[in-house]
Amino acid sequence: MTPAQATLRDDLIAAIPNLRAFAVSLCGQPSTADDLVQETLVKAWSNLDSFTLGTNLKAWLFTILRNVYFSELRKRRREVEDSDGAFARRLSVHGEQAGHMDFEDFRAALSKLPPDQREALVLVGASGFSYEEAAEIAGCAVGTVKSRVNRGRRRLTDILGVDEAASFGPDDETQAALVLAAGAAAGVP
Amino acid sequence: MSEGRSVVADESTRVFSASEAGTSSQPPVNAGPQPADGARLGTEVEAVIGRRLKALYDDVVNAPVPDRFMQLLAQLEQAQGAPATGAADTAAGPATDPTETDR
Repeated sequence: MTPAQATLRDDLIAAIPNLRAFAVSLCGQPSTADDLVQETLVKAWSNLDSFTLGTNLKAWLFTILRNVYFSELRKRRREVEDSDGAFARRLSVHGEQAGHMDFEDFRAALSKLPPDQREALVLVGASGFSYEEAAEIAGCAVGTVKSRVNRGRRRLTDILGVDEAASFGPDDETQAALVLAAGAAAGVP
Repeated sequence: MSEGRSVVADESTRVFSASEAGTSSQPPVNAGPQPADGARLGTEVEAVIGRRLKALYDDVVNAPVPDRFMQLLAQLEQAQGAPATGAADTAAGPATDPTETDR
């Protein structure tokens, strides 16, 4: 194996955690996600000659993965989203409990988004790609990515039944901010 | 919550993207002209959504890689040799670009 091939192999391995995270966010099931990653790696390995060394390997791998996912979706002619009505009814009860939306609720809400909105949200908000890179990966215009992100966020808040940040309940950063604010109010520098 | 929350969301996105070559615009919490549909939510709500999303995502990124993938790569190396760079593998049949979407 040449040094270039060895580096490429190492870069492939290094990308696996991110690929798994992207796959889970797309399909919602860890086992299905790992199958997706497996298929992606097989396709990537046998098509590495179509990858230009020095360009963004992570983006190339993400593109392969999302193409596998979406072509599977089209083949099954079945959407991931459930009937929002039933889910929203379940949440309207939960929402009355002091608005504590835990991570499982958030994860479930994410899985209810149309796949293209979920993909856009994850690419831009979690995988660390720019709008331009996300547009290349998703095979659409930058403006389309932006509107999918905005619609996805809005749809999330609709599904979760929250319209204020405080309704999400405390997470680590909120807790820290609350502690700081309390300290400031008490005159602690 | 203070107004600083939106800055945190920017920084986390920017830091994460710093390792990516060739990034141009970052997705800021407060962008310029907005798309006609999907008006922006409050910046704090967007920041919380961003953090939750990142937390879910990072949970998997930080998890140990299952053995199946290292085994897979070992199998691929044995079957196909070193990763193909440059020369097309004609034995694999017609070359298809996996980044092209099936239509």
